[in-house]
Amino acid sequence: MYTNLVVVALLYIAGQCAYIEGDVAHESVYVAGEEATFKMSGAWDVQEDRQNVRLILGYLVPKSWKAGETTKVTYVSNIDEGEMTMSLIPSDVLPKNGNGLTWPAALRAEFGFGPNVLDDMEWLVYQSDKVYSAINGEDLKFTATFKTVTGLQNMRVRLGFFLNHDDDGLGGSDHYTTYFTDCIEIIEGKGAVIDFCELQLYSVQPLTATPDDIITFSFQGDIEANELQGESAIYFNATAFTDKGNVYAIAASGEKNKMMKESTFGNSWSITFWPAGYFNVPDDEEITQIEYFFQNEDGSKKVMRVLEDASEVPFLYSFGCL
Amino acid sequence: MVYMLAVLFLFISCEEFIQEEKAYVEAAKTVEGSWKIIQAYRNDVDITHLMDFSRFRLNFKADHSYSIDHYLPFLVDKNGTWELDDPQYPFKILFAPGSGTETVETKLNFPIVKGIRQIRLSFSAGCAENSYTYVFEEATN
Repeated sequence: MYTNLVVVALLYIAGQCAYIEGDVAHESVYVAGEEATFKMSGAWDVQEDRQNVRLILGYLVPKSWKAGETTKVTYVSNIDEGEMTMSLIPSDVLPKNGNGLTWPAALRAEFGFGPNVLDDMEWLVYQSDKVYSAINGEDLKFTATFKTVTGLQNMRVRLGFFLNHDDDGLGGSDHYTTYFTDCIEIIEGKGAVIDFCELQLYSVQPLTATPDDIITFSFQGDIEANELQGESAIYFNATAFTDKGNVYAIAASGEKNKMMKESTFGNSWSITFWPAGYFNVPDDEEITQIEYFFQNEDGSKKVMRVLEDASEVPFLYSFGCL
Repeated sequence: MVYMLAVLFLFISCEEFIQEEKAYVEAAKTVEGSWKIIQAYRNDVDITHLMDFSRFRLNFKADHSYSIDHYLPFLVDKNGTWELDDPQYPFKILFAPGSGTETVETKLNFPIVKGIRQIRLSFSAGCAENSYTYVFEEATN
């Protein structure tokens, strides 16, 4: 009888306790704000008797989706009847072998944001509502379905998936499995495309912020040919606009707006600051947006946003939370 | 009856192993002092080297007032008063900024790392979706 027994076998060859079979099925394009479905087939190879074990699935998604509020994770398996449900793991349930971190923090520490180039992503971690007793040699094969309402922003992103059981947690790469999708596009949404998949000449972290956050503006000068290639110093020319209609600019190249080179080699630069302090804006006034571009020391060369008609305008960062 | 005797015997047997109790009283913890940031994380990414955090000071005074020098985004942006939820086993620290009655609290991590006491505080300063953790050590200057 397989009753109450979870597990899988199959790729015992790979020595993996839990593994994802094949690709996670998904479309290449989804419409912003609509439900997207992802299907993962997986298996769990029980190599010793285990009691009270739950299936664990991790899911790496852009924070702006607020996917924890809309996502439903279900699965069907070879040993259960009908559709089985999964729930977000409570924050006080910590993974084994996770260095005392919560499940999302432990996956973040172990896998970061996968192959994505922006870090505004979060790991959501689900556990099976059913608790299993697994006997050595028994297999569980399952197909899990993730249904999520995508966010409203246009973007390109690679989603991530993690599979294990809670009796092992983060026991090692020969125990659990991860999978990252190809680049998925979210279309017909709001704003310029946020590209998690590939570096652009410029980027800002975090993607959503108020002037009381700490913001990093980056210039990745190696992405494509540009005027600032070969410059020994890059400066951040920025203008802040406030809710009182005032304008605060730090334009002339100097120590304050000199960007930090991110490594000895390459041509990536960044500047990080607390906007309210950086622009010295009074307490009763709030910055609503920052226009900026990158320039050399004497300001004779610059990199700005190029419009379709080839005219150049500053990049724009607007403040606002999800 | 036999069962009762057995239980009694067990109880007596156990009694012999009970050692003299020593009264250990956990010392009250104090956060008093001036604290500087030695590590800063934004959304779990270390940003310590990206910005100058060295001048920020969080000063806890014995009269339970606190002050902040060279402000950077933090849990509170005004000076005020502080309180631990339990002086012996603190899990949370409460800040009452300004003269208002509103308080904000956050989990207090108070580890000793390589013999040096640290304070770790996590908070959101701007958008709720952005989290920060500052690791403090006592400032000697």
